[in-house]
Parts: sequence; C-alpha cells; structure tokens
Amino acid sequence: MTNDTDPDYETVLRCQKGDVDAFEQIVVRHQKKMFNISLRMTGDYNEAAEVVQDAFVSAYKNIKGFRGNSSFSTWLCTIVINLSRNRLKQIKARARREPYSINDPVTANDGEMDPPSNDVPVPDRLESHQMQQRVQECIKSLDDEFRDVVVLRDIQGFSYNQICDMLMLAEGTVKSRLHRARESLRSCLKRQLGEL
Amino acid sequence: MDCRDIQEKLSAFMEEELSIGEMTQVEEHLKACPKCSLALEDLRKTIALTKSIEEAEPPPWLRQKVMTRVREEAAKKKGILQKLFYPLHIKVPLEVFATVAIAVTAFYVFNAVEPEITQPQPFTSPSVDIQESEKKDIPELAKVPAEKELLAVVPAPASQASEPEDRVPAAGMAEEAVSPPEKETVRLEESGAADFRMKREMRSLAPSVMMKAAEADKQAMGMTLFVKDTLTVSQDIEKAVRKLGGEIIRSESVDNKLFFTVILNSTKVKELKEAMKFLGEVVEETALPSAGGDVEIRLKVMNTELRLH
Repeated sequence: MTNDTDPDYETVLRCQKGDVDAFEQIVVRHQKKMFNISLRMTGDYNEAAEVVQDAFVSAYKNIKGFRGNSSFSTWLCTIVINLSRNRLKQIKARARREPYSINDPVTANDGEMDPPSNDVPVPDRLESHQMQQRVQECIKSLDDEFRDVVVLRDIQGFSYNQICDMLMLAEGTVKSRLHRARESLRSCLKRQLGEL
Repeated sequence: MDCRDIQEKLSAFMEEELSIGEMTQVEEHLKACPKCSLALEDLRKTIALTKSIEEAEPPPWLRQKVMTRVREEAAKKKGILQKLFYPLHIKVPLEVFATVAIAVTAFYVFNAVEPEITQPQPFTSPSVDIQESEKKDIPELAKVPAEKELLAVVPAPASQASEPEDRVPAAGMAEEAVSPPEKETVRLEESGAADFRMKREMRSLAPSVMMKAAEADKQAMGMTLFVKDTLTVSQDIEKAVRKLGGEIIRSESVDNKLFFTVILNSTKVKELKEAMKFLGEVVEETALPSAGGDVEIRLKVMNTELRLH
C-alpha cells in the first residue's frame, strides 16, 4: 500500500497485518455509504444489507491484495458496485420467473404506471415516502451503465476521477453516460410524476 | 449548433464542464430557445429530485453481522496456519528432533541391511548332498527332525555316536538344551537370520568317519586353494574328494571363504592336490605328514583377489 494520504491508510495497514478490530473500524466508517450505494442500485433494503455484508467479507479476505493504487473507499465501492450489479441481475431473473408479486408497482392496462396527480407541487410531494420510492424505481429501471453513474455522481457525489477509478472508464465516457442517464431519468420521472 | 447539439451539452453546461467558448454558445442559445431552456430546467429538477433522495440508515445489526462473518473467516485462516506453523517455539524443535531421529534410525537400518544386500551367501548344496549320503550310509545314526535343525549333536568319540532319540532336545527347547560334556554342539544358523553372514553347517557323521577324524587329528595338513569364484567350486572339490575315496567331514562358508575338513588317505593327497590345480592355484601351507594312513586336510578356498591383500 503506497497511498499514505488515504484517511484509511493506517487502519488498512493494521488490517493487512491481521488486526480484526481494525477492520471493524473500517466497517463502522464505511457501512452507511456502502449500504446506500447498494440500496440505490438494487432498490431493495434487505438485498442491499446482504450485498454490503458480502462486500465487507470479500474486502477482508482480499485486503492483503489491496495495493493502494486508489483510495481504500474507492476500492471498497468497486466491490459494492460489482456485487450490487450481480444481485440486481438475480433479482430481475427472479422477477421474470415469478411475474406476479404483491410487491410489484401497480400498473395500468397499457403497462404504464398510474398517472400522477399534479394537484400538489413536486417539492411537497417529495416529502412523501412514496415519491422517493418512485424516483428509486426510475433509477432501478435504468440500464446498468447509466444507473452506476447516476448513483455515484448525483446521489453519492463522487468526483469524476473517483468514478473513473471505480468503473475503470475514461472521463469522457463517464460524462457521456451521465448525460444520457439523466435524460433517461428525466423521461422516466416525467412519466411517473407528470410535470417536474 | 442546433437544439439537439445544445441539449447534448446541457448536462456538462450545468456542471460548468464546458470550455469558455462552448459555455457562451450554450448561454446565447438558451436565451433565444424556450424549448432548450425548458429542457435545462427539467434536467435541473431531475438532478434535484435524485439528490433529494434521503440517505437510508443501514440496519443496526449490519456491523455485528459483518464482524461475525469476518471473525469466522479470521478463525478459519488462523486455524489452518496454526495447524501448519503454530506454536513455532514447540513445533520447530519437535520437527528438528523428528528429522534427526528419522535420519539416525535410517542410518542404523541401512548399516544392518547393507551386508545382506552386498554379500548374498547361496552356498548350501554340499551340505545337502553330504547329508543325503550319510543318511544312506548310516541308518542307525540319531536323526534330527527337520524342524529341529537349529541344533545338531555331534558325538566326539565314535563309541558314543549313536544316542537314543530321547536325548535329542525337543523343538522349542533347542536353544535351551544343555550340551552334554562329551558332545560338541554347533549352532546352525539359517542364512536369512545370520548376523555376520557366516553360514556354518555341520552334519551328523558316521562313526567310521569320526574314527577316521580322531586318527587324522594326529596327522593334519593345511592347504589353500585360490579360485576366481568360490561359489562354484564346492561341488568340484567334493567330487574330487569322493573320487579319491575321501570324506568331507566339515564344510563352512565365512565371508566368501570356504573351509573344508577332508579325511583322505595320505597316498591320495598328491592326487587331490593335482585335481585342485584344475580349479585354481594351490598353496600347501603345511607339509604332508610322513606317517601313512588317513590324514586330515584343512582346505581353505579363497577368492584370488584376496590373495593380493
């Protein structure tokens, strides 16, 4: 490990020497962020909790292989993103096998969701849990490559450099994907909420 | 730039990621285009809605569950390591001691086995032949059962050669049997169990032969025969002795050397010496006694190479 500007540098060094208690500090420090990344990618609270557990265990197993080419949190995010993608594929495959679920959103006969009411302004509506769920559904419906950049940039606020490291993409690709992701998201939200 | 190009750049325009020239171009276009302005507004609202999603708190048990699994992993790793290396301060000396013990044992085993490997002793045929002939000649001689071959009793005086069978030690008692003072007891060793590769064979002898031996004790001579291969000459020697009317009363094989005790009429000694010359080089160590009658010849057969030493 060479990146001694990383705030996790000392703790990770201790973990690499087999200090399990040091790893607990890592878990405490990063669990919320990692959980939220996974939650926004999978759209499921319990699945996200499972993914984060798996991600931390995987990080512990492989921590000796961490060389510090990026920050530890970036490395950890990459694990969470990969596991979340895999978990989401499983969720979608399961949904295809079980097409009718009581947890499915209510849809109209033409396959579209119920049209939203425009009576209440959007900011007020956002206060509601249901509104957040609809935004989440739109994020979940994005293609994998678009969802990743939206979650990392617009929700988690990572810099372009960090996103490039996590997804191993060029900055131009990240920006292009982000623009298209936002356009898709805007279309989805308009369909769900009416006027924004 | 048309509206499509402008809308492509709106995301970067919002984040001020465009060059100064491009920023100015987009600004000018937005002032004149309500459609693109609306698109920019929608984009801003979309981002605002996305960012407005509240952070969720992870389940309170998450840390504990993660650490339980991590500690299980750590214990698994440690368990394997402990089996292999821990505690080093006990295991290393133990392993060193075990290695030394194995090396020492291997050394002793090798030393004990090596002579058997290098010096096989297949010399057995003469004793069998002689024994067979003696059985024919002397039916009254006390016989030792096959399973009692460990011990053979050889009466020294001819008058006591024939002993009742009940004097022969029973099987299993052979080792402990006390030798009568008037008898010479020779322990026969089986080739596989020999410690020093000495194979000694002794057979029951006819009283007449023993008488001859007693007489010959007074007239003994020594002879050494050097041959290329000691393993193949024993039968030839035996034939030669018989042909001349003599008897081999004892044959031994020690370290590739053969020792024969032959009883032969003194007039035939010269002929025996001539016959031996066909087998190898003969060296007469003791001169032939001048008195007539039977003479005891102690014939030693050695490998020619040994002579050089």
